[in-house]
Amino acid sequence: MILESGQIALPIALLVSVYVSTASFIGAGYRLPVLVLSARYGMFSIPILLLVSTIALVHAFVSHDFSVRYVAENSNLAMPTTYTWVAFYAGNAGSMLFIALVFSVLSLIAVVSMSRRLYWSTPYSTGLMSFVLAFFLAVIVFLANPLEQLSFIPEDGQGINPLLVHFGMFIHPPVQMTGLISVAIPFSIAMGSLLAGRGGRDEWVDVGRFWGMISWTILTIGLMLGSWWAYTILGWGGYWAWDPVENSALMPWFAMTAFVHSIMVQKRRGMFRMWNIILVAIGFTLAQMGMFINRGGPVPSVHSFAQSTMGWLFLFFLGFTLLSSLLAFAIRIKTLRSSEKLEAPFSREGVFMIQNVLFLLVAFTTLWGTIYPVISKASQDVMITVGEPFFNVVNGPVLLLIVGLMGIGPLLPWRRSSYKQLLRMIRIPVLGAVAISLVLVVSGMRQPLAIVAFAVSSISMIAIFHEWGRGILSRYRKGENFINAFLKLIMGNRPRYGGYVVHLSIVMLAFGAIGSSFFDVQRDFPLDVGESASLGGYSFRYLSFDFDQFSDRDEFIAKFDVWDEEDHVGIIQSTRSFYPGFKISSTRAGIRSNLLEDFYIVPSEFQADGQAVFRVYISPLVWWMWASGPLLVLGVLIAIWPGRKPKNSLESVAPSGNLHRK
Amino acid sequence: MNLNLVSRIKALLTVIFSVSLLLIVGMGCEYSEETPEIEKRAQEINSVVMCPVCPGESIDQSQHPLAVQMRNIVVEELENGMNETQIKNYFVDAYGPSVLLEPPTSGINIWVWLVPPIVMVLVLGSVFTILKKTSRRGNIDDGITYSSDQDQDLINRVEFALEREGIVSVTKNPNSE
Repeated sequence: MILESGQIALPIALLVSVYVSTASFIGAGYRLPVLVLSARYGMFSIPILLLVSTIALVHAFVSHDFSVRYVAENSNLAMPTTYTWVAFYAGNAGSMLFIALVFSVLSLIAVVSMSRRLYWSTPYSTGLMSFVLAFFLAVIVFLANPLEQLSFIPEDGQGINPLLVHFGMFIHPPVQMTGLISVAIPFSIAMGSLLAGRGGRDEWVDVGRFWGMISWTILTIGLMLGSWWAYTILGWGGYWAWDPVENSALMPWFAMTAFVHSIMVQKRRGMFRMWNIILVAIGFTLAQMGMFINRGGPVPSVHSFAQSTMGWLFLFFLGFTLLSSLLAFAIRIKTLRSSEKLEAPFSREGVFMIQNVLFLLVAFTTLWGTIYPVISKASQDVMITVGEPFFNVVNGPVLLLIVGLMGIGPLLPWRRSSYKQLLRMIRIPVLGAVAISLVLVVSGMRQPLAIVAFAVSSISMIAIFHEWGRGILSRYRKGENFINAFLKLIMGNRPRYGGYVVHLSIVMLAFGAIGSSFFDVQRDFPLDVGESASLGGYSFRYLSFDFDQFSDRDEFIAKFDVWDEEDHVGIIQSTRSFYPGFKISSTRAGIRSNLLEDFYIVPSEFQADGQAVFRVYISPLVWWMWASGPLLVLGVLIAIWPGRKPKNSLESVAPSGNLHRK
Repeated sequence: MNLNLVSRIKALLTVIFSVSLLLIVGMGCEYSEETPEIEKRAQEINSVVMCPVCPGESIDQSQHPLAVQMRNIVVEELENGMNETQIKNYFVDAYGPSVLLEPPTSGINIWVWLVPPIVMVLVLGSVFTILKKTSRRGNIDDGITYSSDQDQDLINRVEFALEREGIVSVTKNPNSE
């Protein structure tokens, strides 16, 4: 019963979304408000229909209904019940349904919230979003139906890929998928306004920025969760390997980072109108590229979970949206004249422009490296690999340059400034950075690249602290206490100070990345139970070896007693599990973090008596990277939390919203 | 005069604060010379050799038995006196060129390395030309300087906000010039 309703709901949802898209476009084109309204109401039904299908699928998983092919392929009886709840997005068809469900909800929220402010362009945006949704639903209904039934009922299913069985993995794929598909929303908003011929009016900017930030944040969280998962599960002490699928999620992130910055230029100065629409279109194209590579793309990767043969369909859809965006852009280009001209390179706009270009460059080189193996295979029939060394060399310097600009850009005024002004602005942060590098050299750091990287990343931090310090002191002298002064300072211009919080979190991220990639130490130790070893000030004793058998896996657990110099760190557990059903092993590293460094221990295969080779890493500053995540989210919330709408720039200095008590 | 001193002290404090923060960071990054020479060289090779059966992972990263075996080969051959290139070539002979994570720097595949810098130079070059043109255009000296919201602007806004809230009444801060 539940299953049948779910099966029926899918084609209905497809029909509705096709109707919504068509009706919206026709209604907008021929000025038929009734049709537009009818389309909008139609949107409300799609999330409900997809929820019915999702419930049907989850129910099939929980009740082990192996007559459903997807359930039989992605779960088994041995699977713990908690996993069955989330197994539905572990494979290709189910993740498509997940994407469709999430996107239907997000697009509904977007359309409802923007319809009043963007009266003319909302119908077009609605049409675009529903078109994207219709594509996904068509793929689900015709090619990858997760509720499709087998003609026979297998006794047991095949089970879920054990690498996916990790808390980070419960969240990382759905967040990442949500992030990628959510790029379609700012894209639809921008394109809708372009199609309505109102791209030059800047009315879409606030809404577009809001959804751009939302989508950027989700992408960021998805990337971080993925790194965290890799760090704890894959057992190589690292978190980023420039794997093709990682890259494919990073590329839209680059484009969207550029977008959320350059949209501010349009908001403040009425410039970059064409550029912003191009940027968001690039972002959406790269997001689709991401889904394409993830779904049976041509490049081998650790992410072969959702592999399927339908990747090429995504490539086709990508080409179609890209071409039609270009067409729409070409037709409407006249509406997109900037009202202002760029006046000087030493201005906020100038830096934003350079930053945008750098982000696109780094996205390009990433794309180039990612697809080069395909090019090489096609042109010379030689499969080569483009891996980490390439990306570190090519992207590293550009990323560092961007982090440096992040420190200088916010110091510059809009419109223009002189050399003298520029020098005065960057004096303190740059001197501070120089001081920092001197201190690092004196304290014994001998890696020139690392010192430069630390110094460049700290420019931004010093500038922000300096500005905050002055703002707070200025308020303090007027009789506010420090905490109050700080809060009110931030609430006074939330887009700006929220942005600073995000920048600080990026600095933390950079510190973590620099520390752990330049200074990590690793060694392999063959150890028997009872033996001890030491590395980098840590000493550890192999206390005990346990073996546990579960329904789906055999677990080998090694316990270590770890000391940091004289301090007892504690007992750390390092696990290796073997999943007989898959002939796959997965590890769970034993990790102890502190502010300065991570102690990380992971086993390779165990002998019967517990003898094994243990890989030990000491990775400095990794904790900073994970901690930057929540800070980043906080910064975004500060920046975009809707407050009272200020009418002009003078009012925007008044504390708006929540903290202000009457 | 007095204020100048105050602002200098503030700047100094910021720098001290940031430097001390960085010192903490630096403390985390101390040791380096603990791994024996041969293992270090082995690690460098391991990290650029792909594990043939575990897509996307180097033999340094992977704990697959084959990767472990290949790691052992690397150490053995280093001890036998083979150099980095010879060992890499050994793996290329066995598994094909895709076993190296580092794309080749010779032959037609050199383009994988060449294209990014070429594109970068071209794009950045044209951006700077555009910026330079605009700067010439923007050089009309109309005597207006735009303050950065970093300095005076910031203080003014803070004061404005304070005044609005009725905490203090500031008409003109004599210090803020």
